[in-house]
Order: sequence, then C-alpha cells, then structure tokens
Amino acid sequence: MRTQTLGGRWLLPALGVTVLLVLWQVVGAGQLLGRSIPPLTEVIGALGSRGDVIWRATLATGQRALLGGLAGFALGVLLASVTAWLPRSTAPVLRSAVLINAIPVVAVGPVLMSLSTRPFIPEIFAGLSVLFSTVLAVSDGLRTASPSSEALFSVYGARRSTRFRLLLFPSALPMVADALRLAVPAALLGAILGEWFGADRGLGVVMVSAMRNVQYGLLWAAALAAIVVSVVFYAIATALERAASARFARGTQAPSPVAALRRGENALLGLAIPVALVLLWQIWVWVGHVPQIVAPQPAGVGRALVTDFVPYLEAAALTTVSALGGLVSGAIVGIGLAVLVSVVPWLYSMLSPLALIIPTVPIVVFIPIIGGLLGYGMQTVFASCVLMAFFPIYVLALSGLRSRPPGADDVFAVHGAGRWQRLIRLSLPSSVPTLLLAVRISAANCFLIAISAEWLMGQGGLGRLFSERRVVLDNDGSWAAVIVAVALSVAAYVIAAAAERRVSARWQS
Amino acid sequence: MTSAPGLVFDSVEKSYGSSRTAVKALTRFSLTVAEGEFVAVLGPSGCGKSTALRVAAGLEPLDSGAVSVAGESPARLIREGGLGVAFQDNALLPWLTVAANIELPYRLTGRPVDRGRVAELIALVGLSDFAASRPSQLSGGMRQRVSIARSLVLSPRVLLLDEPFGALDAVTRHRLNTELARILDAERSTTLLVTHSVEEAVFLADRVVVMTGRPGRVKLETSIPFGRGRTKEIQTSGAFLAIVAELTAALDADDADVAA
Repeated sequence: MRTQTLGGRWLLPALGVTVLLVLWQVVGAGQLLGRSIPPLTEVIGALGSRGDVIWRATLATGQRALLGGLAGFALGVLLASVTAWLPRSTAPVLRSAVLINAIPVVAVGPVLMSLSTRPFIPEIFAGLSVLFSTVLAVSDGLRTASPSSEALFSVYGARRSTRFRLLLFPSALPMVADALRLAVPAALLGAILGEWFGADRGLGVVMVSAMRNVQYGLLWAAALAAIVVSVVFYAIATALERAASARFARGTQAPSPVAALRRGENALLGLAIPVALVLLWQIWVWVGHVPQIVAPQPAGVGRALVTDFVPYLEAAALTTVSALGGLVSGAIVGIGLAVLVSVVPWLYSMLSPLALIIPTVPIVVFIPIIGGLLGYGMQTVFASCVLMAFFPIYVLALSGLRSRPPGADDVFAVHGAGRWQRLIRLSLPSSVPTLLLAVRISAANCFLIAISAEWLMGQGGLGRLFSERRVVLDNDGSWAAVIVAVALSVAAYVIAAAAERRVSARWQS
Repeated sequence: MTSAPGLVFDSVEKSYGSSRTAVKALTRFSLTVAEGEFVAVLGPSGCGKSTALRVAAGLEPLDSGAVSVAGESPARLIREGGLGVAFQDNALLPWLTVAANIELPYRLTGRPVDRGRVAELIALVGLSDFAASRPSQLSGGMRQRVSIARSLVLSPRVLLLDEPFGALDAVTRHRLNTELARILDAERSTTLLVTHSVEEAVFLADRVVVMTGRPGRVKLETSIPFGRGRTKEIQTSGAFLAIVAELTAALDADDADVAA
C-alpha cells in the first residue's frame, strides 16, 4: 500500500533541509567558495554575539516594511476599486501601474533624498514595491463575480455602491488576500533597498556595512533575519488568505477580460499615459520651483539623451545583456531543476521546503551576498539577475508541471505511457501558460534588479551611469539613464505580455 | 452473444483511505462481460461503479479478488494497447488539435500513426470539418465525440466508458446516445459503460447491471431484448419503457435501503 504515514510525509523534507544545512556548513567551514560563504556555525555565532544589533535592525526594518507596505497596499486596493466603479478606467489604470512599476526605485531615491521625504525613503520604497502587484491582483479579483450574480443584481436594480459592497468586494476578497501575501516580500525588498539610501539603522544598513567591512557572518545573519521576518509576515498573510478563501468561497471563475479597447484607442492610450506623466513632471518642476539639483526639466533630459547618446546606448546594451541573459539562464536552471524534481519524487519531497520558502524571500538580500562572493562588476549583476529569474520560474514551473488537464493522467496510464512520455507529452506542454506568466513577471523585474545591482555593485550599465552622472551633479544625464531604464523595462514587460497572450490562447481548455 | 470470457471481475474488494478511516468502495463485486458484449452498470452516486471501471483499467490496485481480461491482467492489456477509455471530463489536451488528440494513443503506445484510421474515426463521429480545430473551439458534445473517437482509435479489445455524456445537456446526450449506438455497431469491442441514466443504459447495452449503494455489490442483472442496430424509435416502445420502469424501481428500492 502507498499509504503516506506521518513520518513519510515529514521525513524527506526534514532530511532535505538537513542535507542543505550540512552542505552549507561543509562549504563554509572548508572555505570551498572562499570566505564569503561563512559556515552555518559562524552565522549562528554572529546572531549570538551581535544579537542586539540584529534585533534592533530587524525591528526597524520590520516596522518600516509593515507601515510602508500597508500604506501601499491600501492605495493599491483603492486604485483597483476605482476600476470596479468605472470599468472603462481599468485599462488606463493598469497601464499606468505597469509604467510606474518600471521606474527603478533606486532612481527615485535621490529625488526623495533631496526633499522633505528623506527620513521616510524605506517606507516609500516599501509602499511603491507593493503597489503594482496589489493593483493588478485586486483589479482581477474585482472582476471574478459570476455573470449570473451580476445579472441578479441588475434585475433588482441594485445601485453601484450596493453592487460593490455586496457582490464585487466580497468575491474579490480571496484575491485581495493573495495580493497581501505577494506584498510581504515586496515590502521588505522595498524597505531594505530604501535603507541602502542612508537610513541610520535597519537590516539593509547592517548588510551593506557588513559587506564593505568583510564581516560575512554578520552579513548572512542579517540576510537570515530579513528572510525570517518575511516568512513570519507571509505566514500571517497565508492564514488570512485561507480564511478569506474559505469564508468567501474562492470560485473557479476566471476574471472577466478587461473591456477591450479599439485599435486606435489602444495606441492613443499607449502614447497618452507617458505624455501625461512627462507633463505632470514638467508642471511639478514649474509650480514647485523645483531646483535643477532635485529634478531637471524634461527638455534638459531629452537634450542630454540626444546630444550624448553613445554612452547611454552602451550602458543600455550592457544592462540588457545582464537582464535578459540572467532571465534566460535563470529560466533554464529553474525549468531544469523543476523538471528534474518532478521526475524524481523523493527529490521533490526533499526540496519541497525550498519551494515553500522561495516566494517569501526578498531577493535583494542576495545582492550583497553575491557581491561578497563575486566582487564588484558585471558578474555580480548577472548572477543577481539569474537568481531573480530563477526563483519565480522554479516555483511556477513546479506548479505548472502539476497542473495537467483533468483526467489526462488516466488516459496516459491506460495507454501505458512511461515517465518520460508523460513529461514530454503532458507535463511540459501543460506548464507552458504558467511558465509564460513566470517569464512576464520576471522580465520587467530583471531590469530593475540589474539596475539596482549595477548601482550597488556594478562597473557599468545604466545603474552605474545613473550614479556616475549624479556624483558629478549632472542631473539631466542621470535622469536620462533612468528614462532609458524605464523604456527597456516597459518594453520587456509588453513583449512578454504579448507573447503570453498569444500563446495562452492556444492552451485554453 | 458469445460466452467466451471478455472482462471478468472475481469477488473484488476495494477500499480507499488508511486502514482506520477506510471507506469500502466495492465488496464481493463479481461480474463477467462476455467477449463482444456491452454491459452497462447502473447505481446510485458513490456506489463504487466508477471504482469498478478504474480497477478494470488498471488505474487502481485492488485489495483482494481479481480482474482479468481474456485471462490476462489489465496491466498486460495496457502493454498490448488493448484498452480504450472515455471519461466524463473529456480529458482532451487543450494544446492539440482534434486530429492530434485522436492520434495520441498511437504515440503513447509507440506505434506508427495510422492516418487513414484517424480520418475514418473523425468521419465516424461527424467531425470531418473540425480535424484541425482545438478543443476550446468545440462545444461540449463535440469534445465528447473526440474523446469517444480517441478511445476507439486503436480498435481496443475492451472499451471502458465512465459517464461519457454525464456533463452534457439532456438533448445533446440523447443525440449522442443514438450516435454511439451506431458507432459501436461499427466498432465491436467488449464494452463496460458506467452511468446513472437508466434510459442510456437500456438503450445502449446488451445487459444492464444494477449495483447496491456503498459498498457496491451487484444487485440485479437484466438482459435487454433488443438486438444491435437500434434506432431512437425503440425508446418509445412499450418493452423499452417497461424495462426502464423496472430498473428505476430497483434503484429507488436501494435508496429506501440506505434510508432505513
């Protein structure tokens, strides 16, 4: 009998964790990868001897992530609610969210630093990081009410507010809770990035100073603390998500598609949103009498781009190589490992804790660790991008490989199909839509991580160009680098989304 | 009707779950479907009729007893490609065309694809204009026809149908039953159909078996006195309605047993 006993269910995952920890200890103690990977015991030692420092930093970062994250989350829910009240606003709101998400937070930092917002940069970053996924998920959730319930409300002539309060919002709650869960690592990521801009304490501060002072035990201990905070918040959000799904019956209803725009409108919107943002920027500079040192004028930035385009082109090329190369390499490793794990059941069990932890990890904590391992330069940027792409792609590939059409496994069994046939003819094709989703999520983020890593550890690329221009007070030039980065990131997202739409249509059952 | 043993269940016992919380699905379940015979199994929901079919398909191990097909184990039959199945959820692969879905059994059993045979079956189920369509472009009834064609493509010795029309509306179901009768007249296999529709069972089968509630056991067997080549007209005949009434009463009596 294949009955799963309690021991059987826990044994392999526990063994997997043990093997990983032992491997870590061996690599660290033997200095197999240099001093930058300290043994587990050294990290625990650092947690003990510098416990007070780490504890204070953890409290500070946790508080900032919580405050900023909740503010960003509330704003996201509010924006998404607007799309439910005014369905025609859905496309413009979602597009603006994509565009704003493409602005690298490290580029927003210097602006915030020169304003009165300076002490709140970590909170603002946490809020900004959360905003995008919240708007997207909640807006989807608000479109999951079943058509027959919508008809019921129309028949009784329910007002918009009633419809929203009694139908749309309750049916969106499971996805609102989903969004909250996604927000946890994003908020921590934002808070830690924000602390790199010069907060007085916090895990981000500890990590950067530990990296520069070659205190690897402390660096890893701080990263570990960040992950623990994330796991704790994530567990709370997961409990909320479970409760919401049970109470508000997460349906199988897919979100109804966003009201389609006509071709002309579509193109117009694609143009209008960036133009509106540039206009807002210009008005802000004029009305607020913003000095050049805080924010340049759009025309100046445009001039900088046109007159001196060669370094921007070179930097953009380097950043693109890191981001896309990292994306492709991360995808290959992620899909490869997911396939391997899915055909070797005991390995799947052993690595299952990994798949549980990965979605909770704020990925920026690895940039200083990789920096410590590989040093300053493009290799660190590239490795950061690989890791950035690997995490979501591995986890989504795993779930994609298991989301096979109902009954298909039986059909394969009845025809005596073997493990490899199931993999090639069933599991891999089944996972295509999920994989494309993973690629879309990673595409824009790879550019953001590439720029953050270049800014912190790189020796070239847009992130580096941005900080170089800034140091010599060439604000036109530094903003121009940001504009190029935003354009690249948006282009990556748009191309990935178009590919996903096109291919997914074929996969619809 | 021949008497050579086709599909034999010999006092099969099957339960689900761990030993403490086990739910008995089948107990002392014995049934013989002769070579070339069409047997329909009727029973209340959850009586284990689908379990019986899954055991015959080799999809579930059994606790005790035996299942054999012409003296061989289901696993052996699977290796020979001698089994065809169609399920309630059509289990089509959404990324493949109708033709590619029907070809799938050839690829899974590692045989060369017989395109003539595939085209013949597509024509038989009336989908010649849709060979290059994808499942998402078809109605529920059309998808189920693809599923039936796929189950027949290897000319299986044993055909297992698990509520193949269970998810369809009554009118479509009626029409597909008439078509299935015609198709199976052309494609003779030893067939086991599991259904909860009395009319469907009586219209299609040579013999109907009624099962008790859980744990499932055979309660009543009735031979259907109509030959092959049935048309929808027989469904209004007195003999047809009498058998339907008798079997419906047997099913109702079972509900009373459960309630008591």
